Amino acid sequence: MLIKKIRGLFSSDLSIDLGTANTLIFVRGRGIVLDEPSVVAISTHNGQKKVAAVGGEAKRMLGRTPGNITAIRPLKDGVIADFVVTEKMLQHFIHKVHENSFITPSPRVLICVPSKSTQVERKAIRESALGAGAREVFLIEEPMAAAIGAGLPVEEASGSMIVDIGGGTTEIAIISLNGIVYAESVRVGGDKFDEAIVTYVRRNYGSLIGDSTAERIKHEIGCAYEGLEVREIDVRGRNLAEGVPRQFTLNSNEILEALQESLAQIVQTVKSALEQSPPELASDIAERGIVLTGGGALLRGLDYLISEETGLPVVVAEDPLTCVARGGGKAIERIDKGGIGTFTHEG
Amino acid sequence: MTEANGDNSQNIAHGETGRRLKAARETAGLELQALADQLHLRPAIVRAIEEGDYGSVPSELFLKGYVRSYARHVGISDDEMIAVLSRELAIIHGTDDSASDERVADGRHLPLEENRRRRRVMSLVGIALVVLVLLLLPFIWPDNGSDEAPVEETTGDTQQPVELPDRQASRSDSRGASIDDIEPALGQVEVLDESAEQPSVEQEPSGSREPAVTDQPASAGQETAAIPPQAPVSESPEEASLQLTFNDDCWVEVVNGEGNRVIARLASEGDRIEYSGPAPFEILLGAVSAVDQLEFMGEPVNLSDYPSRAGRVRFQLAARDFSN
Repeated sequence: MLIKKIRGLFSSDLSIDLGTANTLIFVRGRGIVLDEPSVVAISTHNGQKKVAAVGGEAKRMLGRTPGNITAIRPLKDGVIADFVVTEKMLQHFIHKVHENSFITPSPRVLICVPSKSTQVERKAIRESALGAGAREVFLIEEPMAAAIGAGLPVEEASGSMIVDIGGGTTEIAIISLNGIVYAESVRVGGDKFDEAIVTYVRRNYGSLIGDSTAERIKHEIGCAYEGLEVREIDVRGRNLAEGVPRQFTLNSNEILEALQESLAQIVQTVKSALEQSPPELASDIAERGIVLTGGGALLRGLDYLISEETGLPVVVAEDPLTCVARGGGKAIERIDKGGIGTFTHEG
Repeated sequence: MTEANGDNSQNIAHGETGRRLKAARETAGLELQALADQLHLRPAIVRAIEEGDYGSVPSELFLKGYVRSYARHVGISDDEMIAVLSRELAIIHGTDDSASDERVADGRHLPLEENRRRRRVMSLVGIALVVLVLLLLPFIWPDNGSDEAPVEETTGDTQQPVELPDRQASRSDSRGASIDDIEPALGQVEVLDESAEQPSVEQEPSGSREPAVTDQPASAGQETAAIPPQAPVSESPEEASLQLTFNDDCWVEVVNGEGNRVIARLASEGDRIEYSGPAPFEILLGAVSAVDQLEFMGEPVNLSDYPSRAGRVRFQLAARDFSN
């Protein structure tokens, strides 16, 4: 216990956005210090499993690994799918953040969890953080962290609506007076967009592309609203009929078509959140608008789409990818100041 | 529309963002009301942005968001407009109350981080001090050797012959009063000289040397006191004499056979200490090199026979050892 405390003195408080796609770590006073894909490459030698690479390096291996190496994404839909690998990944990241420390770090850690995650899922995240060497673990609900990070006035007695589109889930929440009034979570996010693009290309071009290629297409020409400038991209994929790689060109309208279903789900959830919000808060939201955060907010035209569908102003937060981690960092400061609990404390 | 090459001028006039947006809107032939409808904003807010009245927009997050969508609607680069707006806001915050969001955030970060760093340094210094003290302890200890502490410290590493039952019995009798006894006992030292009677050593139980038990908690003494062998004390009050001469400063402690600390003082160069009383004597010398000669019952004792620790020696002299 004492040793942990001493080690704690040499560790920084961390706010971790343990996302399906990317893991971000925010260190108080230093900002975002780590932004890596949540991917772990595992090599098997004589039945013994070993971590071969973590983060960006492992991501480059996704879909390109030899037989004895498998690249795993240990989180699915915002929650832990592979406990042991998640723990290893966290351990790696925590050490990476404390690279210059000569004592094994034992930081206080705040982790963001999906608002609709179950007790079991939360416990799994807490346990894996403790297993990775954390001294104390705090959990905060993702939309809350996102709202704090985006700069929403969460402590005011007025409603704010936040839509955080992550890799695995889209979190929608109405926040007032430091608390979540209404939260909804759909398991649609960046990953679903990628899958939709892969499916679309297979159906319409008879070609198979990998997830990484799909993600690249989404980043470069992805679009959520028709009537925006049309962009094109050259893609190579394996033609299913001929069995050889073929090149073809995709444009943003095709991607819009591919994403239609996922986008409709998000819009529908936003609408139902608005329907269910208390009238006073609904009027606040109508006055100010909806705030988008998360990687999905960077999808071109998504704010237009939601704005047109709901008839409300929609604002994309500055630097939407890091909102959750930054918000978590601010929440850690509140812990020290004895602020009201927007998080659950777990020993 | 195209006049917005806004990265040139450092000093941007207040309301620059609004003016540019308004100009672009008028070029595009849009009414304020029409634009407000497209943006799903109240016309009052659009007007506030155009007039540079940023206070009436709920927060910076929304202000930037509105400006961004406004710019896109009227066909100017949103990133450029945001850059202009940020500079404007920085000026406002700089002149107003110097409380830009970043500064507030930094102000929050820095003291906390500094505190942590200070705490970290303090704890490092603390740990270093503790380690230093622990390292130096063996050297410092003998010099300020107090009455009781050394007894505990040397437990077990000096093996001296002890007449176990005898000592325990006597100790348990008089331990509580031992400090008070020092004065009269010291007085006795002066009175008695080396010609004190020789004790009848032969009467001692013939048991061989017991392992050293130099440290005796009072309770243990009482426990053993309950065990019968009190006889030796009453039967054979051994008497022995001790004579010490010094050539330098040296701390001397002598505990006699009755458990009384009869001598506890600093002897200086040329001093001569004589004592006779019930044996065995438990002797502690702070600086063995400062002892010129030690005679026990008239015979010189070779001090190098006893293990010393940083010049400090603790041993026991029993009359029996010297009788044969």
